[in-house]
Amino acid sequence: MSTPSVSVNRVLKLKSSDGEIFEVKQTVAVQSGVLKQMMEDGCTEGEIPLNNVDSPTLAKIIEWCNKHHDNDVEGRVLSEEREKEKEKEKAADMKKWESEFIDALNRDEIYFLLTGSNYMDIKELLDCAAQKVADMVKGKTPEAIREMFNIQSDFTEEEEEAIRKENQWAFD
Amino acid sequence: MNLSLALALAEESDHFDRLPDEVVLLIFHSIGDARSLFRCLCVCKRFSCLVPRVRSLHLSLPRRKPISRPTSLFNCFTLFFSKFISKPLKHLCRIKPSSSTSSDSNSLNRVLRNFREIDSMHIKLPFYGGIDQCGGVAADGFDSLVKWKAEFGRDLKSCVIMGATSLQRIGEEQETEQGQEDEQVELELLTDRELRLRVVWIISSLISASARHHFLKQILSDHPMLRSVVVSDGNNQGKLCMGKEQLMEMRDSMEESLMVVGSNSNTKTWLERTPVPELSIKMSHVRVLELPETGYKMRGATLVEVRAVSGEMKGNEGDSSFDGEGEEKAFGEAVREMLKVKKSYVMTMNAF
Repeated sequence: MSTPSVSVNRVLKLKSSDGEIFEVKQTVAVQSGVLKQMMEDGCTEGEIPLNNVDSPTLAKIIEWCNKHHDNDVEGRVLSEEREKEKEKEKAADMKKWESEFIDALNRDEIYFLLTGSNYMDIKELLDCAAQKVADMVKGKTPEAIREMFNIQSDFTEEEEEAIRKENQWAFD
Repeated sequence: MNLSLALALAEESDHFDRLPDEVVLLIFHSIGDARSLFRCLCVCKRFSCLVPRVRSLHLSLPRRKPISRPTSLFNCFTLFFSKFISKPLKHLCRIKPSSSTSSDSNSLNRVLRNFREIDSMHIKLPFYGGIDQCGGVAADGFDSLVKWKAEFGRDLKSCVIMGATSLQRIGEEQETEQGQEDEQVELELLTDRELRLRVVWIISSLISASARHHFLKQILSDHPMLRSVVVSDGNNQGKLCMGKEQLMEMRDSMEESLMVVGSNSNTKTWLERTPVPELSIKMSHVRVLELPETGYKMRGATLVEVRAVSGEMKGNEGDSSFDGEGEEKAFGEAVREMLKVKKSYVMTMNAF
């Protein structure tokens, strides 16, 4: 945020893959590594096309960034002890908000969020979405995982049998 | 093909297909749990290529099942752990080289060998309660009130042990007769019986720690990228932690011993734990310790700081010893409080 070209009131115009324009404050947009780089390079004039992100996903991503931005700038003139407590509270609130945010999404939305946050380089959101998918995978059988994500097995029966045998303990 | 059909087809396609490898790896990384990862191995070819590239692994070994199914690889591991790592004290008098030990730990190593690039590993040993394998009843409540955290290099460097005879929420405590007696007498010193119990805590923790350290040796030689290892257990009783430098030191010492012993090294591997060096021990004790921050009251609170005599002195690291949730947190607070206690017992213990 120390970059001179970033000013509080300036907005970026982001264009989703389906042509919708979203306005985002520069101070919010720095959370995206890609946009931050563009700002530093001074090439954010006009519409910025995000060809890999559709509008529902971009709306979600901006919602995330706005929330995390709000959390950053809240004024604080508190005693050290009190401040620590406040920090803790805020962190807990944020965790709660994040899990509600992610839990409200369906499988497709999470998948698009993964690709979108990866493309825009928003690490926290990417981690959060990846954790959600990881939690979905945890404890499932290979069949259930395939079904959940529409994955076709490209193993022959013999190959699959061999892998299972070698790692028998995971299937007990 | 019209647009909507194309879209429908796209939606039908493999969700993971369009995710770049690094995102899929991030997902696997977030799974952590080894059992789930191994199941991912046979989902599809791409998964089976990516899973072994995971850098961080959380291997939680389940509770041992009845030994009547010796064919299962996993039962063999857990048998091995139950015998030599989790409950070493019980077997202190009956540890004998068993021909199965080596092959059991080998099977674990064979499984782990899939993960060549691991740099951080957390192994959680199974929870032990109820009936012991030899028919004895494990004294659960008693056991779980001792927590330790050990640091090793080639040998034990230090160990913090925090123990108590009871831990209750403030306001909920039931005044046992024993408790009232304690307060009446308000003895500063430990009685012989109490002291004996503390020594049992210390030895039990140290043996457990050094057995876990020994068990890491094979894993270490198979995983050259390892930078951080934690071995904990289902009861959250003990934690062995090794960072980058400690692992390096351990590797060096393993190489040294290989060179010295040469081809005879195989005969030496029967030792089931790393020898414990000569130790200096500082122990402080408080009969009733209130922990306002976490809201617990501890009786017979005892903090033991163990250091290898030969090791260099370091500052207090007790602060960060126990940083989990709930009762674990109470132990963390207890350590902080106990560090303020001035009076302490100092003793030394010979290498064993």
